[in-house]
Amino acid sequence: MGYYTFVGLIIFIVSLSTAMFVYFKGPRKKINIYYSLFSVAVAVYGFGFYTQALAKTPAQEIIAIRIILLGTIFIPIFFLLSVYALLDEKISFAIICSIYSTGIIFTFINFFTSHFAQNPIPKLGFSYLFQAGPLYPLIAIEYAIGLWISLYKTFRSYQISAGIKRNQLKYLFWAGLIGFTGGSVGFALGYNVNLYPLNPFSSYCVPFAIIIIAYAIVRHQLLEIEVIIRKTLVFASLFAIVFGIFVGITLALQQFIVGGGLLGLAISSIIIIFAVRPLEDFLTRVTDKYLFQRKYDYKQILRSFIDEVITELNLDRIINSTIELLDKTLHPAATAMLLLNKYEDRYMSYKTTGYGRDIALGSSSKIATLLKATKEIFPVHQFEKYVNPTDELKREMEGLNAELAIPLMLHNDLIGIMILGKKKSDEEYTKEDLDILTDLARTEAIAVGNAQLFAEAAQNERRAAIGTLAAGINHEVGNPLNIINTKMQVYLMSLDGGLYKNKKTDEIINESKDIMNTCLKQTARISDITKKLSNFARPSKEFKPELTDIEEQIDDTLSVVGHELELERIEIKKNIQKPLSRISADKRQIQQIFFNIIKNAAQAIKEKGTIEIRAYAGSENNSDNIVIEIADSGDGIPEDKLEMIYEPFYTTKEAGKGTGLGLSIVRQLVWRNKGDIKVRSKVGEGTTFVLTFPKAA
Amino acid sequence: MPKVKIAVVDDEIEFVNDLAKGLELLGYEVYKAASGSHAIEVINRNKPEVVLCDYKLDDIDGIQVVSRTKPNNPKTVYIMVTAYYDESLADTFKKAGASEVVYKPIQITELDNTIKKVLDNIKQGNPR
Repeated sequence: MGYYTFVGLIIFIVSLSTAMFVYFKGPRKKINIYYSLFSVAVAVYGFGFYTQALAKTPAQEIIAIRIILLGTIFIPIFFLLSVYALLDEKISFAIICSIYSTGIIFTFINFFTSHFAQNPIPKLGFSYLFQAGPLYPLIAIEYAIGLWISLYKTFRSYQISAGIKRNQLKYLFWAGLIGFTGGSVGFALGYNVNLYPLNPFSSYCVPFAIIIIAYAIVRHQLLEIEVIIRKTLVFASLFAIVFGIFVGITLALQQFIVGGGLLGLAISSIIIIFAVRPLEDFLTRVTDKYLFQRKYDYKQILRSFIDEVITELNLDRIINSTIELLDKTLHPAATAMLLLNKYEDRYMSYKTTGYGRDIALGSSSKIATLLKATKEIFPVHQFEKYVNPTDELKREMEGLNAELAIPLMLHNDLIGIMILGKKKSDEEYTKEDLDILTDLARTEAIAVGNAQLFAEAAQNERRAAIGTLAAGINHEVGNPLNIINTKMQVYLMSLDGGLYKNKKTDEIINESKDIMNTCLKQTARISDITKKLSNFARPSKEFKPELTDIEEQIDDTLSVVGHELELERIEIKKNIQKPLSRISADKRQIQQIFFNIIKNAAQAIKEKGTIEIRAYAGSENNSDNIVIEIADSGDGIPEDKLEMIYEPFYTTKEAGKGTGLGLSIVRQLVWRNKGDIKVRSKVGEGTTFVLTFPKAA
Repeated sequence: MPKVKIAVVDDEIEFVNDLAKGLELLGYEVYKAASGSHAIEVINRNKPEVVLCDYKLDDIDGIQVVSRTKPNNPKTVYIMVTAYYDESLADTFKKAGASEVVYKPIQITELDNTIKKVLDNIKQGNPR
C-alpha cells in the first residue's frame, strides 16, 4: 500500500514541477505549452494514484479512480499534440476535432456515469479498488492509439532528421516508449490483476520518462553522463527533502483533522513551491563540492588566476594563459580573444581555439554595439531579455558559434571581446560562471590594457636607447673618420702644393707608410666600436651566461653612453678593485643593466654632477659576491617612493624624459642573472644602486 | 702682411697635427693644444686671432675654454668644432661666445673659407 502512495506522490511532484519548468522555459512556444499540459495530465494521474492508495471507503475510491482516469484520458491527447508541435507539423481540423471531442466525451463519461469504473471492492491489498466498467477498454484503446501514433510519428521523423532534432526525437521515442509501457501496467488493476512486482514499480518509469523528455525539449543538445548523474543526485536529494516535509506535515495533520491528508498536501505544496529553488541551488553546490571536486575547484583556480594575470605585462602570455585557463575550467567548444585594432577599427582575433580560422568583428557590429551599451556579458540564450533583439545580432552570434560575448572594458572603452562557445558538456553557463567571468573580464581588460601600454612604452624606450646609441656612434665613429679624412686632405694639399717634389723617395715612402698606418689604426677603432654597438643593440631574448668581466662590461657600456653624459657635463669616476673575479652572466644583459642605471643616474643629475662606479669583491653577508655600486650625485629619491621605483611606468622624470620602464626591466635582468639589486637614496645627496652577483664558480 | 694666428685644440693629437699641417700650407701660423688646460695656456700666451676648439675634451669642455680665455682675449674669435649635429648644442656654443660651429669631419678648404668670413666680419666691426 505504501508503495502506491509513494509512487503516486513522486509522479505528482515530478510531473508538476516539470510542467512548471518547461512552461517557464518558453511560455510562448507551442511545444512547451503542450508538453506542460501533458505533464499536468500526468500529475493529475499521479495525484489520483496517491488518493487511491489512501482511499478508505468506496466513495473515496470512486473519486480517486475518476481522478486517475481524467489524467489517463488527457495523457495521450497532450502527448500527441506535443509530438505534432515538436515535429512542427500542422494538424488537420478533423484530427483536432476528434482529439478534443474524445477528451471531452470521455471526461463526461468518467465523471457522470460509471461506465468506466464502478463498484469498488476490497481487493489486491487495497481497502477498496474499482472494477472495470463496460467502457473501460475505450480508455485503454485511446491510450494505445495516442501512444502508437505519437511514437510512430516520432520514429519516422527520427529516421529522416539530423543533428539536434534527431537527438531530441531519439530521447522522445525511447522515453515515451518506456514511460507509456510502464504506465500501462496500471490498466490491469481494473481487471483484478496485479502484475506484482511490475506494479507499482513500473510506474516509476513515468516520472523518469517525463524528466528525460522535458530535458530533450528544453535543451538543444544533450548532456554528458556526468551531468546527468549530478542532476539526478540533486533531484533525488531534493525529492527526499520535499517528501520528508510533505509526509511529516501530512501525517501530523492526519492525526488531528479529518481530511488532513488533503490539507497537508495543500500546505506542503505551498512550502515546497517557495523552498524548491533555493534548495536546488544549495544541493547543486553541495553535490559539486563533494562529488565533483574538480569542477568546484575551477572557481578557486579562476580567482587565483585573476591575481596572477594582473601583474603580467606580456600580452602574449596574458592571452595564452587566459585561453588555456578557460579551456581547462569551463571547457568551451570554442574561444576567441578579439582585440580592438584602432587602425582598422575592427576587433580582430588575437588568438582563437576551436575555430581554425581568424575571426573579426567590426566596431559597429551588433555585438560590439550591444557590449558597448550594456558593458555586461551577453549570453545568447538570454536573447529575449533584450528589448530589441535583432536577427542580425543573433546571426552574428550564431556565425561565431558564440554562447557568451564578454566585453573587455577599460575606462569606458571596449578594448576587446572574448567569445566563448557552448560548453563541451553542454551545461549552461551558470550565474556563478557569469559572475566569475565578469570579474575575470574586468581584470583581463586591465591586464591587456597595461600590456598594450607596456609594449608601446618599451617601443619608446627602445627609440630613446637608439638615440643614445646614435650619439655614441657619432662620437666613436666620427672622430676616427675625421682623423682619416683630415690626413688624406692634408696629403693631397701637400702634393698639390709641391711639398713632395724635392723629397727623396725613401722619405715619401716613409711618410705615406705613416699615413696608411694611422688610417688603418683608425679604421680598426671604428670597426671595434661598431662591434660593441651592434652587440649592445641586439635584443637579448635568449639568455646566454658566460664568464663575464665586470670592468670590461662597464667600459663597453661607457663607450656607448659615456659621451652623451659628458655632453651633459657629468663626470664619471671609476673605482674598480683589481683583480676582480668574474661572474657568470649574459654579457649583453649586464651591459643593459649598467646602461639603464647609468642613464637613470644621469637623468637624476640636474646641472653638473658625478657618477661613481665602484666594483669590489665580497658583500657584508657574502664574501662570494661581486658588488657593483653606481652612485650619482643627483636629486635622490624620497624614502616613500623608493618602493615604487621598480614598478613599471613609475617615473619621477618630467614628461617625455622617461617612460619609467627602465628599472623594472633592470630588476628582471638582474634576477635572471642570479643577482640582486638594492637601492639607497637620500634626497639632495643622491642615489646609489647596489648590484650583487655571485662569483663565477 | 703678418700671418693669421690660429690655435687648434683637440684631444685627438693626430688630428691636431694634421689640421695644423693643412692650415700651415694655407699660410696660417698654427698653435697646437691637446687638452683644455693646455689650450688656455696656449691662447693666453700667443693671443691668436682665431681659436678652433673641439667641444669634447678630456679635461674640461670647449665652452669652458671659451669662457676662461675670452675675457683676456677680447679680439679673439672662436670656432667650435664638434662631431654632434645638435642645434641646441650649437646655440649653447654661440651663447658661450663662439662665432661659428663646424662639424667633423672637417673639410679644410671650407674651414679656410669660414675662417676668412669670420675675420672679415671682425674687420667690419660685426663680430658675428
